[in-house]
Amino acid sequence: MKRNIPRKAMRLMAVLTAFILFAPAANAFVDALMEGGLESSRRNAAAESYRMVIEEKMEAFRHVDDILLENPSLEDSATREILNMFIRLLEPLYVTAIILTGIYLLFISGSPEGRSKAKSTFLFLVIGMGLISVSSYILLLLFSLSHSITGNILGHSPGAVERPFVHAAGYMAAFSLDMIGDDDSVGTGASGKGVEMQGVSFLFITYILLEAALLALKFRYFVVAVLAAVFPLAIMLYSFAPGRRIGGLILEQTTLWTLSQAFMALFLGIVVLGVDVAGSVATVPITEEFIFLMEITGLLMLALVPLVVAFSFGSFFPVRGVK
Amino acid sequence: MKKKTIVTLTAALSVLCVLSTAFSRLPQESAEDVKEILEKAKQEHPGMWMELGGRIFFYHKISDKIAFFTDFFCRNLQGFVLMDPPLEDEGVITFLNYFIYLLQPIYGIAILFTGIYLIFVSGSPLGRARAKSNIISLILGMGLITLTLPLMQLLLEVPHALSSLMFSFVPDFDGGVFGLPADYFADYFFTMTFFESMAGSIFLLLPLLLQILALMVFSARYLMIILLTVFFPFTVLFCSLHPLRQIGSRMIRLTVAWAFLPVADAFIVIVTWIGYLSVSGMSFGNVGVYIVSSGLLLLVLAPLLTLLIVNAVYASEFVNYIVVNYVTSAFAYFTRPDILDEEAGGEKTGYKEVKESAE
Repeated sequence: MKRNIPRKAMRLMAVLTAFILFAPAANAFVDALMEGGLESSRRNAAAESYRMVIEEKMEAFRHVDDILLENPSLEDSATREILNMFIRLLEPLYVTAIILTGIYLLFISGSPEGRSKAKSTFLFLVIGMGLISVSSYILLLLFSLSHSITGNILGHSPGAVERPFVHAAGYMAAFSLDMIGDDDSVGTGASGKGVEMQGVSFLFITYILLEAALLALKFRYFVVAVLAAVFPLAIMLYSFAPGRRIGGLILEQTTLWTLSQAFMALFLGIVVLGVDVAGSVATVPITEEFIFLMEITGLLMLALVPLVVAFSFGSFFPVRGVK
Repeated sequence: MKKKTIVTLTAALSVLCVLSTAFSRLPQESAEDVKEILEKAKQEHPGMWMELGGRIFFYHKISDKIAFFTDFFCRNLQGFVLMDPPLEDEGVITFLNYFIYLLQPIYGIAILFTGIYLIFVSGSPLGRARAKSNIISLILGMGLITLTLPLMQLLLEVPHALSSLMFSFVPDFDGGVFGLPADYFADYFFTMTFFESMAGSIFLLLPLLLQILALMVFSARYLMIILLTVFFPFTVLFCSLHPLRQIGSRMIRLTVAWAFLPVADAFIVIVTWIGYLSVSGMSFGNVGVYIVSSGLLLLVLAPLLTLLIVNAVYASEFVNYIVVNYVTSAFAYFTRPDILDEEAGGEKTGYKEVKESAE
């Protein structure tokens, strides 16, 4: 035992010397570890914030059928005010035009051709004025028709229409959060390791996809509101031969943008159906990743549906007399 | 022994003191440099190791995904090209039946209105003829929509058989070739990531994006075929009604284009495979990788190409030309008056010659 004392002392010395010599390096590593820990906590906090943003969007998407069924209010809204303003503005114009055409018809027109033209214009003006007066009711009829078709399609969808999109967003968000370096509290079971910028890029893509689909729905609402506001003007333009093309175009676009909600509902139903029946595909083993890609494709295509409907289903409105 | 311990400790402390004195006697500038380097090492190196750890983590996460998608894509490429949605599935049939059910009153109203127009309103022969044609189309359409499923299956069977036939021409086809660009660009990505994390991410897009976009096009076709099948009764209705005929024709073209996409895909895949084989023996560069990348890009653009081809065929009235024009013109050729006149003229000439010779 006694002989061990110097050895112990030597060991102690060695430890002390090592400590003194490596103290700066050890200190640096401890600093780095602490910095890493802080960085990890900061990343976790950032990941948590991103997760909340994505979940908020996913929550909004859970009510996609309500958003889809929304149409601009014609009861007491800015749209109605603009619509009424146009009606107030156009009615005196119509009355003046009818009086002038009547005077022309009674006192001036000599030729049968002029008389016939004046008669046709007179008829168009009277019908146009009637239609302008009830334009809000025409719009209401169109909106309720579109609403009931959309509701019917959504009701016959083979599953909850938001399911594929919530699943796709959840899949991608989990992957991104895992990459950022999520902790267990977020639920992915990953450690504190991770990279921020790359993970954020993937989260950004997820966010943009959800936002694009929601924006497309909101954009349709906005366009329908604008077109509804100028609806009386479109009727007026359609009443006169020179403005028939532009008037017809506005009326056609109003119909198409309103009905595009039914097409969006149909597409949502198709994506749900496609994902549901994917298991029966014979040629390829359908994995979760492929389902995810299918859902992402559906989400992208959904954002394009109103534009495709508005630009491909046109040219059905009769614009006779215009070449 | 205690003395020995005290002596050893004292000696060690003295050595330390001497060393520290020696360090303190270094020239001031050198000491500053050493201090700066040590400070930098203290600050940077551990941080650098942490950063490298992060990059390796990212590398590991992404390499798994790249490997998975590459393998999945290459192994099932032929299957993806030949992939058709299961139209006979109960879900699709229920949804389709719902749309047919929706159309029944519309057809009834359309036939009723056309009948009223034909009986009471139409004054001009053109309007009457148009209404008659509408009524016939509507009745035919009603029959046609009940055949939606067999018609769509036939429309899918033809391209399926054609593309299978095309694949049978290359029995040694290996889909693994389509993973070459992913491997090639993934190497760049991994190397760049080691030096600069975000710069490497740009190379990540190339190996992942082309395959993912191609897979998205395959899934878009899958969804579009279901959509167009469910929408087919409406397409038939649009074709039956005169004001909506243009939309109906557009929908038909779209249906044909999406249905025939596998033929274009099979053609692109086989041409890429042959192109790759023709340069694989060459020693220069990585031409094969770029040929396969172009093939993947073409697969992404294939729907657009197919739609352009279908539109061009429609615009050139190719079908009309083959089926109707050729037969009509052949018929017209043998019955045209100038031929008869010519023959008659021939007779006349002959008559003249006989008459002249007689005279």
